[in-house]
Amino acid sequence: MIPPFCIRIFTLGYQLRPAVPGEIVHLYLTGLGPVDRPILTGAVTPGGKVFRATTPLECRITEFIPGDGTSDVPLEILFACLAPGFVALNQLDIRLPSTLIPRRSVRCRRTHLYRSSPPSAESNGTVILVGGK
Amino acid sequence: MLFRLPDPASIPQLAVENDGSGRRILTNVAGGVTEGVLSGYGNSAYAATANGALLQIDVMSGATQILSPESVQVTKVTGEFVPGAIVQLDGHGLITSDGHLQVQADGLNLANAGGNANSLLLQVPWELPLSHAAVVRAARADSLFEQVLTFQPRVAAPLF
Repeated sequence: MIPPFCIRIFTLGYQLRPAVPGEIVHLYLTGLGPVDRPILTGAVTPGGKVFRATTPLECRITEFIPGDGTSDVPLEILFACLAPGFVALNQLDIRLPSTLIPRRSVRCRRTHLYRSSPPSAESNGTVILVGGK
Repeated sequence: MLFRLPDPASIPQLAVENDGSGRRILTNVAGGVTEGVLSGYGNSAYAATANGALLQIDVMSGATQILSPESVQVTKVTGEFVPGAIVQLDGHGLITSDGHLQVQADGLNLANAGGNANSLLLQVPWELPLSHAAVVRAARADSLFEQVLTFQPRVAAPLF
């Protein structure tokens, strides 16, 4: 259950199972900025309409591999919008690279969002648990 | 002599000792007193409270007059001022007892997305201009004081 107003990350399915390489993951956050259609401040984002974020963003995932350092991989952003049914909550749909090496044990990957220009708006990171297929 | 003295709950209160008959606590203020001064004739004391109120106390009777009520204070801001984003404000008196928000950004109302007078989640107005620093004012209508903070809005600053 997603709390109605939350400033921290919560990932659907996060506690049910880890994500797998190539899978689409829905992330919820705030601060993606303006959207492509008007909505009143304080209004719950209505369903049935899509409010797409207009600020270009890039996303990457950093894999921490014990003994091997880190691996930094760009992520495909499929969808960035306001999450319906909430106030000021953004939804970000990303596809995990299929090239992530499936592992028997769950590994932590830290995901960052950022703008390439200017590069000053990098997000904090969130952790996605990625397991093997 | 005027001084601060911890009450039984260790909250500093204003106390007086003027004739050798012992100390007498003059205030009973939630949050305590941060500063105090005795007037020139010694018959009145003035106290500034931790919650931003200004009090005048009759030293003989202990009668207290509120010169200025508690003020709104923002002590911590979490998140960036991005149009439409959620920011968290921590402080004191951020909303009135009837839920009226006492914080504005550039004269625009922020939307209360939950919380209480000491910690609020607010939505930054979608209309907030990006061209200049946003002036955030925290004030209650009946207070002589307000807190003014400035933030540079950003077009996006994702926060998980």
